[in-house]
Amino acid sequence: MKSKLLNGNEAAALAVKLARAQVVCAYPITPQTSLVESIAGMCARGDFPGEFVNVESEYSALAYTIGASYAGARAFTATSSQGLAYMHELLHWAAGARLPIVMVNASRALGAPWSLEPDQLDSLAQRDTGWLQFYCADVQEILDTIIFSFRLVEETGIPCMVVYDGFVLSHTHEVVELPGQEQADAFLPAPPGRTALRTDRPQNIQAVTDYRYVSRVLQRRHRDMLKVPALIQSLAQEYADIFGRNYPLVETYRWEGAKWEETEAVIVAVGSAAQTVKSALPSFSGQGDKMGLLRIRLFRPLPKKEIISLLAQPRIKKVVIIDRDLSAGTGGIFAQELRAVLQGSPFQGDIYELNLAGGVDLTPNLLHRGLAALDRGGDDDGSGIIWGVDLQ
Amino acid sequence: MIHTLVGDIPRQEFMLSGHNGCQGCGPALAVRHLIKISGPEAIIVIPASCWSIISGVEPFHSLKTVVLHCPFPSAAATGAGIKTGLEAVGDMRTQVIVLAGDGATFDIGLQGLSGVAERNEDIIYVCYDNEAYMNTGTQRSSASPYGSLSTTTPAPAAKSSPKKDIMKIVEAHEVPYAATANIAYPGDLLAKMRRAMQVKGFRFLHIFTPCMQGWGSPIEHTVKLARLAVLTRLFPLYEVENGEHYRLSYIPEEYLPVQAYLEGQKRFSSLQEAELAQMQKRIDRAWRALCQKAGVDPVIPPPKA
Amino acid sequence: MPSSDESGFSRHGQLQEVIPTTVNKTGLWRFLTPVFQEKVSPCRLSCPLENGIPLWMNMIRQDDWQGAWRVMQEYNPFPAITGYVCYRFCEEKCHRGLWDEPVAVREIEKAIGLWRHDNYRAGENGKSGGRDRMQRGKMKKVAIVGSGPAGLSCAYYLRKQGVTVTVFEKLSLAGGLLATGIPEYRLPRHILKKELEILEAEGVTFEVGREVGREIDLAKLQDDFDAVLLAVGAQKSRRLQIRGEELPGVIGALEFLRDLHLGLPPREADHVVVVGGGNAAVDAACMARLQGARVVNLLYRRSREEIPAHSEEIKAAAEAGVKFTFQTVLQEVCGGGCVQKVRARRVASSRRGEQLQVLPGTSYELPCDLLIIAAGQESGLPELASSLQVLPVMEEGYGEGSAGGKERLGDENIVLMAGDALTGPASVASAIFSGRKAALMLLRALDIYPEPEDIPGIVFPLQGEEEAIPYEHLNPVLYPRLGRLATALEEAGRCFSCGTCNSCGVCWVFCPEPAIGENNGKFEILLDYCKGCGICVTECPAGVLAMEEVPWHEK
Repeated sequence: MKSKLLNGNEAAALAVKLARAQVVCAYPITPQTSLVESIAGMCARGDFPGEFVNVESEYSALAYTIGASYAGARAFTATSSQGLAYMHELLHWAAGARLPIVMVNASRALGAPWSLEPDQLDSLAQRDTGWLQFYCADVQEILDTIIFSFRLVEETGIPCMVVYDGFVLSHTHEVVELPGQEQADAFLPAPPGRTALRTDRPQNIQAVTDYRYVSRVLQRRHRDMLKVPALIQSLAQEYADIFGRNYPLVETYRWEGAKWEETEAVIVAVGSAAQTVKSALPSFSGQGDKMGLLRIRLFRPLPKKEIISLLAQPRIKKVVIIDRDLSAGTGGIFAQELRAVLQGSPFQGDIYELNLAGGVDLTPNLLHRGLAALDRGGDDDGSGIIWGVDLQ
Repeated sequence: MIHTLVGDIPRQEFMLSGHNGCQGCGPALAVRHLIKISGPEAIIVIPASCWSIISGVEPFHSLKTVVLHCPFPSAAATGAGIKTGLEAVGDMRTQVIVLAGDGATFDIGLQGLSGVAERNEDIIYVCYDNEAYMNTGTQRSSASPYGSLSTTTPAPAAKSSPKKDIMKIVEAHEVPYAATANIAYPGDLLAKMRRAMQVKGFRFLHIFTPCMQGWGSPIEHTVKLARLAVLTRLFPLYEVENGEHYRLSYIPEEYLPVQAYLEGQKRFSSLQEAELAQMQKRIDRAWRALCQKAGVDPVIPPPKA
Repeated sequence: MPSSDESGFSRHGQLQEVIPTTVNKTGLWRFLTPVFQEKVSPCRLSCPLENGIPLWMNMIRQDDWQGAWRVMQEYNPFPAITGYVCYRFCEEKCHRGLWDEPVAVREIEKAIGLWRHDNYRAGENGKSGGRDRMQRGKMKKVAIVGSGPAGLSCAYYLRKQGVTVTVFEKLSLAGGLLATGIPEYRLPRHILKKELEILEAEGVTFEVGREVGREIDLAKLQDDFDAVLLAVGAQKSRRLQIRGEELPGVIGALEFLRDLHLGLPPREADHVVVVGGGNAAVDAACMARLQGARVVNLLYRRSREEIPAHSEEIKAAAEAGVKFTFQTVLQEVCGGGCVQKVRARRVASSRRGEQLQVLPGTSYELPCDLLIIAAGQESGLPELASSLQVLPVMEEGYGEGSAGGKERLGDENIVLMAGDALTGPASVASAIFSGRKAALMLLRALDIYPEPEDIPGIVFPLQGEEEAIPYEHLNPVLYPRLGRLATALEEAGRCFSCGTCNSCGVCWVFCPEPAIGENNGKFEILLDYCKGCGICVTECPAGVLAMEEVPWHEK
């Protein structure tokens, strides 16, 4: 294992290589572009084990990936924002077809208007497509999660989206521990090879059918999804044994010396925002609040049990959920999901939303101002939301 | 001897009886013959189209081959992905055939088609063209001919734009092989499929497959109308290699006005004299242009006064 | 249902058991049902011997010459002969003529005949009858008087059923009109010779140079044989009943031709006049030219359009230099001791059957040193008839319930007629047909096939009410317009096979189900799956398929 200075996209590209992906098909889109370029570059140098195909659209990119996956190849694609939205129909199809595809989404706001900011609505809007979704907090995690996901999708037959914030992670360099190929191989078995499309017998795959079949398929997909958190935990242990890094479903954090068991207020954050919270938490230590951070890493399926056990404590009076997305008319999507999870649980405290929709940059200052606003009584517009944009 | 463009069909069937095609189904007939050449080991990719139904509702299946259904616009890319995936897992042999209707080819899937054509993906793309969205009950497509009625171009507002020339679009990509074929000339259709199976790279077959239900003609006229489309030079049979070598597969022996083809088709019932003349002019012009590319004499007599 | 693997996750790629759609009996969708309905082809209907032309065309198309001959001889045992002399009535009516050119039926027929000549192996008689029939046939003896096409045809069919056949010919040469009437340029004599050799090899006995009624008593024949067929032809030329007709130098056309073919010294003549418009007249005129006559005038009483001789003959005669004069009748034969000139006059234009109207003042003379009269022929039968113990059965009628059975003929003294003797002067083809019909009657009358069943190897005549399939019922568009082709194999492939399924497979080719199966080379509708679209009916090139309403319970 060696250390290297890599940005998120470069780390992702190397992870795909380490995973021995056989077919990578993508359409470049900011801020994912350098990922595609990295793979294309490796391919051109003969330094990539698979085939890279630059198609004419994101739609075709996923269709192509679906085809390759059907053929039994280990397949990968990557996109962002509008591109992901353009793939929407096929996201459902890939999940329904139970194809082991891994995809990267570098978060970026959806138009209109045009924007390159790291809003997460692009992937959150795909939450019901039946894909697994990881949200990464740093470059190292991007690399590890991608390698991890290939194993996960091939064991579950559920495609997986690895999400990280556009620019904030995709273009930010961090020192990354780069595993060796033999480590990756130790974790990831050889690609599955020819699967569904065996031509030795007639098949009519995904032929039109009626509700009796479709409802069973959906029911099974749901039940299979519910099994995923436990599988991830066991695979994570295996991963840790090989790579030395263990990633939980939800991460908790307090400043040095503080115990979670003493936490009375929790900030829930996702992706790179959690890093900011981590770095800002010590500054809150003197203010009386016993604050902690809860980072949701796996969004689909949402690890409800873990979240409840961490938050539904009588001592926790306050939960502040930071969303960098917006379901207009309802609020932040994580906030809604968390409210739903805590509904009916022993959690007795108040839930607050700090919304950074549109890609508002979370600085420690902005976090301070947000929490102060919360102490003043919260929102100004009766929406129950503290708008990051108002705090700047 | 029966026309060689008709005869010499292998006996073995890979399409089963009892399928869901309507009475006198042109697309069913086309596929019945096509897969005699591709055989049971090809993988057939079908986007939303009549064949989504003809191939059978789960768990039924009418083809002795592997069929993979895919979303409407995605067939070309899915097929290409399968081919690349097969090669990635070491199968260099299996042919992938996309089987799409005119809607999935001319309209919603055109971008994907252009993509695979431009990248010269190693697949066979077959478009069976019945000139409207027939599976959903005859809505116009960009393959619908000028002057035709459909449920979305109802009388008196018949379609006012001409049929999209998909072959020209494909040819413009300089693909290794592109050809037109017609169910009335199955011998020719099979010869072209055989050729397509031999060529490496992107191959395109545009097959004329009338739909009597949608065209408002007697169901027994499926093949007859398909033939008239060729005889009136409305749908010439030809092939193109690498976008430059044109070869006419059949030159009609006499000049047959387009009326012969239009007669009895309810979809053309609102066609006026002037529109008919317009249509004829367009056919003659296209024929001349095609003959010029193929380097043959168009032999069209001057229109009668 | 997708099943789960050990990890508890259902997976893509689980192979589903598919159910073939053949379990769906889509025949239930059908309202109308295609059925095979064979119809008579125009060629067969126009053929004097009702030859099943499409059937053997189909064999040739498949390069099956043995098969073609097998089918051919059920209609016509002498295709080599008709292949030379027939007037191609079939080709005139051939529907292919409306598409490009008629199929060269006669050439193919000739080719089959010549193939047969080249491939004949002795001892093929009795192939069609079966052992019992052969035994029964062997017990019977039939005398055939006359060795023309009718007699030979009957002899062929009887012999095939094992019957002992003796053919009596009064001339020194067997073949009747084929030997002594038809010019050699129309029928090379080696062809006839080969046919006679084959018949002899098959066991037909020829008594040549023995005239029944003169050397042999007809009554004796009736005693010695189980049945007698009188096929003596119509070889007696009619007279004109005009002045001077009895002069030397006046001869009937048939006698003229016969003498030539018998090798008698030719009559020297410079100016020949032939009277008549039939084939015999034209043949005689031609032969006279070939014998060296400087001028041959053929006089016919009606117009060019009405002349009964076949256009082929007229064309050949005109090419040989015969001068045709129409609307002209002979008035008088002039000469002292022998013919020197004839007097003729013009008549008004008339149709056959109408009274002639002589135009006054049109009389003129023609130099003539040989006058050949071809004003019609008569049966030689009346001379024989006086010695018959019973009158011969003249009616035609065959098959079930018709008059031709043994009931009509009685058990003994069976005497039948055939050929020109029965029908009057006709064609070689019709004489062969007549012989075929006589054979059918005799096989029934002689108890060889006592039941009114189809006799194998001989096709029954049509009922007489059939209509040829109309051109509009065909789908000729499936044939490229090519014109005639070089080989019999290719040319036979041009045959539309009107009304006759030749298993071309077009129905099968165009079935979108597919609901047409193949059974022993024959196509059949698979009613379980036929949705009744009718494409096969529209596309059938031969017009054999039709849509029918079929009761629900029979679907």
